Amino acid sequence: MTGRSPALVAHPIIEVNDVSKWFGDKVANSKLTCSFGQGVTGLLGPNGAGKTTLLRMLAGLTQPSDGTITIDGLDPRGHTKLFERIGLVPEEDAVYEFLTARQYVTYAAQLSGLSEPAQAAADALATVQLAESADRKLGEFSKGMKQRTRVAAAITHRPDILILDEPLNGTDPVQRARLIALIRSLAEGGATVIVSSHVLAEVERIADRVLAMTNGRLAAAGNIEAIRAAMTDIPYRVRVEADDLRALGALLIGHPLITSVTIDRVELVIETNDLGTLGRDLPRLAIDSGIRITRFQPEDMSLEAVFGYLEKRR
Amino acid sequence: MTAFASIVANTLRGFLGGRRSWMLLALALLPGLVQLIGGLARGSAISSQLYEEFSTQVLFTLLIPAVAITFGANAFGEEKRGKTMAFLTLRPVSRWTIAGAKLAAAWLGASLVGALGAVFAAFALGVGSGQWTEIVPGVVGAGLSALAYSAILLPIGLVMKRATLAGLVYLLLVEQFLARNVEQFSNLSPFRIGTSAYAGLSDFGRVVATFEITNGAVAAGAGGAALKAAAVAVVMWAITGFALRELDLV
Repeated sequence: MTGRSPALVAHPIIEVNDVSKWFGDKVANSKLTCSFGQGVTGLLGPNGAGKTTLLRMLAGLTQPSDGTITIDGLDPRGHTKLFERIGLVPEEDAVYEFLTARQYVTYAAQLSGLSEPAQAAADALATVQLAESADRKLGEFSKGMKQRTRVAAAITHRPDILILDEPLNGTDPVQRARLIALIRSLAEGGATVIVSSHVLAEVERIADRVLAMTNGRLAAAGNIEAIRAAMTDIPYRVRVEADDLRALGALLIGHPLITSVTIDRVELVIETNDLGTLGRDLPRLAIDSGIRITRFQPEDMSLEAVFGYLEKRR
Repeated sequence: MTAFASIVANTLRGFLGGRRSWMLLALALLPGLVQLIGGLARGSAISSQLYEEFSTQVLFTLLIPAVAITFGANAFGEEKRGKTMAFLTLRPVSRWTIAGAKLAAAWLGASLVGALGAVFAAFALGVGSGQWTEIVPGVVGAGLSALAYSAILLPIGLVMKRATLAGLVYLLLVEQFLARNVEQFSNLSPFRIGTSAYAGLSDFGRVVATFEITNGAVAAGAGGAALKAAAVAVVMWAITGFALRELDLV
């Protein structure tokens, strides 16, 4: 045991230290301390949680009102050289609509100081499957195509830090799967990837690690199961089907592991603070009482449920 | 292509592409066209009078301020409105380079349109009256005025939300009021920088006299005007670069 907070990684590339950001009276982020290393970190939270503000600060676009952010020990706002290593896909659906996709990505490559910007742009467009549409004006593109073009512009200089704010917005399921595969492959290549989303299933598919935010604060950190396990003050909910629900219910009422038992038509809904022990003890209890359990389903391991809990806990 | 040249080229492409370029072209050609038609119909004296009272006035009081607002205030204004500031600034390019490239683009765009208007008006004067000396003064005056206007409006467009409106307020407040009444503002007025350069280079007495009256204490002379325009540009470039470093960019 190192005693390290789950919001911190062992080998940080980006370090956020006690960072707050406010705009007038409105607090967007409050005393955030976390770090990011290689692999994909999902920044998860509902709209207005402060994810975009944090990502903008990580990229050096916005200055923290308090606290510090460093990338390999350097403040991104004072070191434009760091931007050789950073790719950002902002949340806004913004492109230069008068440019073609090729011109747009080539412009990104030129600004990044690449020696062969045209080739780098062609490679990046091919990576996001836009080679065939590369010479069409961005104003004619669908939202999903613009999004892929923006991803191409963000990766054209092969950054080792990639910050993506809601990158899957507007993409269809096929494009989404490809972008997820691309993000995963960049991370497997050694990049530090930070992906924000309010769509829970997306983060589950993309990220190795999750930082969950609500109301500008860090609500939880770790992998999904670890976040859930850390919430010891909130009971797990388990749905159980058995051949004699009433008998099983009566058996569980008053049991020290169980905080509540209700019958919901054809199943029992059990709440417990110790899912692991219940999972071991319940079958034995049922067998001893001659009851046959046909289904044991913890219902709240999805991110949706985790977020419901996090919101309630705040 | 360097980052500086890329930013200049992309900014100009945004400015000059599409319907706006036709509108700017029409605006640039308007004074010369009126003068050409009037001069051809009514003779040399009318052509000269139109040049003095209409073409040069439209050039320096309407065309150049209008294109400078379009290009100067919107050099960053359009990036902000289009939410592309992150694309531009999250690159390994110094803020001073970005500020300089935007200024260069705004100046080039405004000068191009302004100079086109000046050349066409001077050409119309030549056709109507045989006076062919006004092309160079017009181009130099337009270029220097456009530089000063663009430079002043560049940081305004960066920090203000409504860049065009802010540019118009600047014109009304500073050019129309302060520069007419306060000598220090008068010396650095883009209008007077342009017209004093024109007056310093021109052989066309009646236009020179008109500008000298308008400019008051500001002496005619292209060298002095160029120095003032350059000084304004350097100061405003520094302010813009500093603002890019210090302000939240999105």
